[in-house]
Amino acid sequence: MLMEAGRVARAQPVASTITVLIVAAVCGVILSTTGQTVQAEQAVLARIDDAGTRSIVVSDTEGRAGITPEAVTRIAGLSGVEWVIGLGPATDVRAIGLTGGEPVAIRILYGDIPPLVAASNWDRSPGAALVGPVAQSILGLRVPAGGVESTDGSSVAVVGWFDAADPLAHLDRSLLAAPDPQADQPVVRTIHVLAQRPDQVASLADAVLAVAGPADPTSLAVVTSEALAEIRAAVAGELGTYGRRLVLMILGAGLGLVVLNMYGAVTTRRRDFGRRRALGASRSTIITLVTLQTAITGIIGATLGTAVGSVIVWRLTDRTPDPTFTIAVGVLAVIATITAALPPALIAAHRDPVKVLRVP
Amino acid sequence: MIEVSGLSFGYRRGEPIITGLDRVFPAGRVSGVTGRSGSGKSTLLYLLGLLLSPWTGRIVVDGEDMGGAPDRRRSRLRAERIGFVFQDAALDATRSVIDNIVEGSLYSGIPRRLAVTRAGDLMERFDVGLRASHKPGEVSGGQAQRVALCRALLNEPRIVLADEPTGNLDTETAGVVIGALVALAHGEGATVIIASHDPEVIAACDEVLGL
Repeated sequence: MLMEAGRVARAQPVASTITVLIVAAVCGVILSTTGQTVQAEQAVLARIDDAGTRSIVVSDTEGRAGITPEAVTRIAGLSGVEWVIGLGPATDVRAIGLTGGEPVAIRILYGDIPPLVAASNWDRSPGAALVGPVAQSILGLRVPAGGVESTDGSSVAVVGWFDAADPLAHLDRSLLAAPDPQADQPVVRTIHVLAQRPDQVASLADAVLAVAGPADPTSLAVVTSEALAEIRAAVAGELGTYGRRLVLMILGAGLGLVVLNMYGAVTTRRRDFGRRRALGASRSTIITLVTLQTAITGIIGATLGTAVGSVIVWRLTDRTPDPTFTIAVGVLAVIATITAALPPALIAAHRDPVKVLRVP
Repeated sequence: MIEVSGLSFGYRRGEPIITGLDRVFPAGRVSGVTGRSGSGKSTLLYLLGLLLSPWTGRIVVDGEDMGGAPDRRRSRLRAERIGFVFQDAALDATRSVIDNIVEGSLYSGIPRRLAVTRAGDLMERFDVGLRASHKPGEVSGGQAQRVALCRALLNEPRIVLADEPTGNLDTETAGVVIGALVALAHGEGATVIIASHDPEVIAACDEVLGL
């Protein structure tokens, strides 16, 4: 039946070509309009995400909360947490053997180094630290190696570097030291958590506070990106709604044109359907035949249209549309085409074959 | 065999063309249906071919009441057991002669290879073998009607319905077509029903129904 549908499509070159062009135009227009909107939406959302829509920062502002490093491990086990780190209290250090350098803060890092922090190899042995690029400059270190000492005389070896991106970029002004297992009552002063999704931020912030187990909760300050997450949702919603409306309008217009075109094609083939019915084709066979014929032209049109639309978007923006979006547009266009074929197919199947077979 | 009883039908409500028809169209015989224009000859043929549903009455085909059967069952029976011959051949102008002949195999389920073999034999028998690759527009009216006959016989039907099969043909070709239909009934036991107002065609029939 598929081969017969293909043969019928070839036998009606005008109707088939018009359907191919309509579907191709629909795909091309969607990609070159909504496709750009989607790209803009993704760019805006990416910029908002860069600002940390998913971050939660818990700070022991008064130093009385007494959060232990084990809290970091417990928080890491919460559902929806992408990563978590804890930072101990900041201590000023200066480079050993250099004069004139400014002091920078060194902090103990609890938890794994998150993916957005690039770092050199670090075995995290006690007394070893990584230096951030800004801190390295302030300390006057020509290379990320050497030693620093605090005002109380304790020293730490600088064994490498790290470079953090937002929302941890502020750490670039400091050193991160490995925790000392022998330390007496270590505490965490700041906890940075990244949620897997922006909409998880609010609930996760409550869970983090509960799991952190502070001795004095009043000492804690929580800063979340909840407001930013709401803005993100609003932006995504507005742009998404606009895009969906546009897609529906274009698909609707294309669908209407395909219906008209196929209705015309079916009308001119009344005698063909009458003959097929006399030869034993059932109504469902006729419906299948017309639908398959239209689907074939729809697939050709969708392929052509998405290819041309992608090239247009690439020429206009120097970026190709998102492949998932492109495939979705093609599949939607084919589904719309098949849907548009159904009314003419039903009409064809229910025409009285006798009226067209009889010779006056 | 086709048996009809109490058969009534019309295209418009309150305007019956056929009223209360009782008739047996036996296997192995050629039944003629004749009458003036508009008397319902073609309509009866299309009712017997299950392309129309009667207002009232039964249409029993080889023992099965098909008058009110669903479309799928009627179509199946049409594809497997009935062959139609129309006055104007009704060939598909976009396909070759041989593709026209094997078109019915799409619906009857006959494998295409077997259909092509059968089509070759039929084309030889009706002397259109050299036209296999031609389009209908490239053959004469007589050849087109012989092609239509080949198409009707492809599925080796038990019933053949012919609507004015010689209407546009010269005497010689008409003789070939009618001869083939008579041979099908007498030789192979098929039920052949011919609607015609041509006295020569009616004379070739074993029995005649006047409408």
